[in-house]
Amino acid sequence: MKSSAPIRRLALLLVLLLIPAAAQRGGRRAPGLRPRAPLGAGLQRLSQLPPAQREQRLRQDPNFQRLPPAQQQRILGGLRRLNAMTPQQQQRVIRRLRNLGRLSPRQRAGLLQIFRQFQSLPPARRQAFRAAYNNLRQLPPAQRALRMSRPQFQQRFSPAELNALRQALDLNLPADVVGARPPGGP
Amino acid sequence: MKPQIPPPSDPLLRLLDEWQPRPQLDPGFDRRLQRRLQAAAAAPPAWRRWLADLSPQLRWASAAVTLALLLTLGLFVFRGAAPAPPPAPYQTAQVDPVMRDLQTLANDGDLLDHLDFLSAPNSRSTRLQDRD
Repeated sequence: MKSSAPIRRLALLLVLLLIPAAAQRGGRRAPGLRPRAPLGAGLQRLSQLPPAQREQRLRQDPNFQRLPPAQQQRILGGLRRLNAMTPQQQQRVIRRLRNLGRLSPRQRAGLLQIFRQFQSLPPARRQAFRAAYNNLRQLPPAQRALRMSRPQFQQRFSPAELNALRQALDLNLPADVVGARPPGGP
Repeated sequence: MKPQIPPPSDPLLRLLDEWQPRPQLDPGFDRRLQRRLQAAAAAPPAWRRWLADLSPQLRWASAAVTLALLLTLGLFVFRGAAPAPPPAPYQTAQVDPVMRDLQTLANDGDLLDHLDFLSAPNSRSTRLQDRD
């Protein structure tokens, strides 16, 4: 009889732990967890309308009407940008939006940060950065770190460029999303 | 049908008028009654008697289950009582795919235009130049 006491205590502990967990699981689902349409799906739908109807349809949308004027202007700015594109350019943007949607929030934020730094570089430095990125991403992490630690390599880049390069490599971006050479590729 | 009322001279009514109740109580009745009232007042409540009948382990188990149920109930009440935040306009724009995409196009249009900014250079000489 006494030997069953620890089992009872364990069962009791389980009950104590599981009941609140079950309650939490049964609770309301956070709005952020709702399945959402992938990035690009909205523009794909909108691009099927003639450009003249797009703004009209947008302005009639109650979701749009509820937005503050500044945000409405931003969205209209995006629409004008879309309307100014050729159908091929629109499809390219939609494809790129889908690719952007495949990235995690961390990758997306990191990519944007790297892009801003990249834009601030002169063309020659951009080329060197891009080349180094593509060469390094093909190497295993240990070999990559070894190469980046070499003085010959470090001499060719400023500390800010080296840091941006490290950050870009750490993001582990899918090659097909950013158009880079895949790791281990030719 | 109206009931017939007997006249006051009726022997039965006369007998009832004369009758006086004389309860013959047991002399110890009051004493026993008081003792039972005191015993009832001093007795522990039913739930304590029920707990006293349980083994110590079961007693702890029932206390723990009660605590868990109270915690669960509290959690439900707390979560239910917390007012849901009103949908902010920005969230609405995020949820609506068209508006979210247009907003992304407006905010990150440059990145979208140059999403391949890290793509491999076409010039082989540049690539070789970078190699150690």
